[in-house]
Amino acid sequence: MNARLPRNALVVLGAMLVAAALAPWLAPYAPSAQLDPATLAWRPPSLAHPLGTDSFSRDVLSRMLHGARSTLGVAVLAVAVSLTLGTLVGALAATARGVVDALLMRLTDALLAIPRLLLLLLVVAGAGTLDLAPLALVLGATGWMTTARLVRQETARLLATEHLRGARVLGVPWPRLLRRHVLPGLAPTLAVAATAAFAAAVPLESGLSYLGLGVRTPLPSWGNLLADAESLPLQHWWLIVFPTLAIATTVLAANRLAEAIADGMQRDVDEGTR
Amino acid sequence: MLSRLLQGALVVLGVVAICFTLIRLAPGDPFFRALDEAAVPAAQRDAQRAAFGYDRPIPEQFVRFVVNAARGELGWSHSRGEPVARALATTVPVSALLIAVAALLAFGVGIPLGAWMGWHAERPTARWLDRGALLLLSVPDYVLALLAVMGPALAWRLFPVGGMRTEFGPTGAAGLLDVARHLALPALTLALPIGAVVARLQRAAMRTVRDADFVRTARATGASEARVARRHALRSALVPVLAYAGVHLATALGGVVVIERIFAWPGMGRLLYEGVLSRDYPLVAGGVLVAAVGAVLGTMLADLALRWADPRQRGLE
Repeated sequence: MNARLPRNALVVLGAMLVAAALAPWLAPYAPSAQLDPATLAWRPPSLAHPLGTDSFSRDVLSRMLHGARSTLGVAVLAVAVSLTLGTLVGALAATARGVVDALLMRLTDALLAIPRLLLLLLVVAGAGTLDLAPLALVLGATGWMTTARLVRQETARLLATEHLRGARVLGVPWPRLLRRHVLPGLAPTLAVAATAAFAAAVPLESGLSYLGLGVRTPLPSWGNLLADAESLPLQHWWLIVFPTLAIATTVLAANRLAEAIADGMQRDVDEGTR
Repeated sequence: MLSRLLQGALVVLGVVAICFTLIRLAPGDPFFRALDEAAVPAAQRDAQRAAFGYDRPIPEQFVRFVVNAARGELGWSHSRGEPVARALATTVPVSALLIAVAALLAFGVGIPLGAWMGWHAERPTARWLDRGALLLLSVPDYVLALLAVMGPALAWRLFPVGGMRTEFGPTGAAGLLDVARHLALPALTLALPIGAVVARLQRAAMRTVRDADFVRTARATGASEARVARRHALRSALVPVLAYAGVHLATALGGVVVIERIFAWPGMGRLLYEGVLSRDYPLVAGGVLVAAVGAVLGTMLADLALRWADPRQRGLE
């Protein structure tokens, strides 16, 4: 595949993920430490607190770093779940065909018809509060449908190619056929699906946390940082600007990456190498 | 066309089944909060549950749920103390107004803007607009709403902060203007991300079509450049945009929850949010059901529009 990957998008995503992974070592303070509510609250960005402090005198940089941990951690786990589910359903539908295919795809259609946020609300309303891992599971469980569609289409295309038809004629067993011949061909499709799913999961997690239905305070997430800053006057701009920038750059980088990979696949089609 | 209707009906049935399954998967039932207390005698609990059919086998409950939903009976909302159907009847039109205005804005601006960007794809302005649209797409809707409240509403006082009309405000024509002022910010924040997707799709489609043979032929007939772009290229380039319109509607319906909560817009989205907070399960399930049916109908409408734009679709029955 001759994808030209946007370097700045990769750098941004990489930096964010590293910051999230190393948050406990990078953060200058504990994320929930109230340093001095009497004198250190509402401090604008300074050398001691590069991103300022909030209403409880907590260090915003530390909260942002730990927030990256929950937001990006949940997003990555959610992508893993939705990618696995979507690949299984899509590949099964494409190989089984017939009734199984029709049933699975109608289920996918029905789930796609329900707006994802509403589907999430339905689950959250039933479960009450969710911890990080269940939240990621639920996000993944409501996000596999587009992946399933993509994978089904691509698997069907691959199965119709000469070399796979040949492999089937030679009697290669199905599990091996899927693992050795179909899965590698699916890689670019899965890369697009994964980055797009990531770009969708970050706003969803932060949105749910913003609404008070996802990650709960005092555990920070980029979404509940914004909820804390809600309806404050503009003088406290740093409480809004930094979480917004973090979310927007991460999602933008993921979107750019997904598009670049998809463009690369399209170029392969145009040049007849696919 | 008939088969498309049938498929739509099947999807709606599937949606009903999913809603029902999720309700039954949830721990407890709508009464568990009110009834599962030591003070309530067991016999009383059983009687209450039996009165609402919660003691029946699951398949029977499902059939009842479907039949009732088809009759427009969606159960009892215990947080509001009224039937779910009535709560929805008062809020759905309010949300529909918001969604309709937002959709008009998004498609009304997105399609011409995207078509222009695609037709003149090499111009720097078009490229910057495309990047701007991608950036806009990367800011979640609740952040856009938050910024809209903080800037134009709170700090600059250009628009009201929330609600649908001023309390004890004007009536008649002045009242309509009042509603429009309240509608402006929520509709705009809902429209921006959808408009950005529409514009980007339209741009890509127009760019592909621009160099097609039939466009060159149209040009060769001596038609003006504007006429070629509008009559020949755009009509064909509308196909992918219309094909995605239904999906966008579903996204918009999700965004409504967030936007209505932030702007205190008294529609279905806010109702659902409050339903989640008070764990009013029948209310949430009923609302999701109505929204999903709306999304399916929207997709089918988009399909009809698609048939109009793309004659090839009509031949493929």
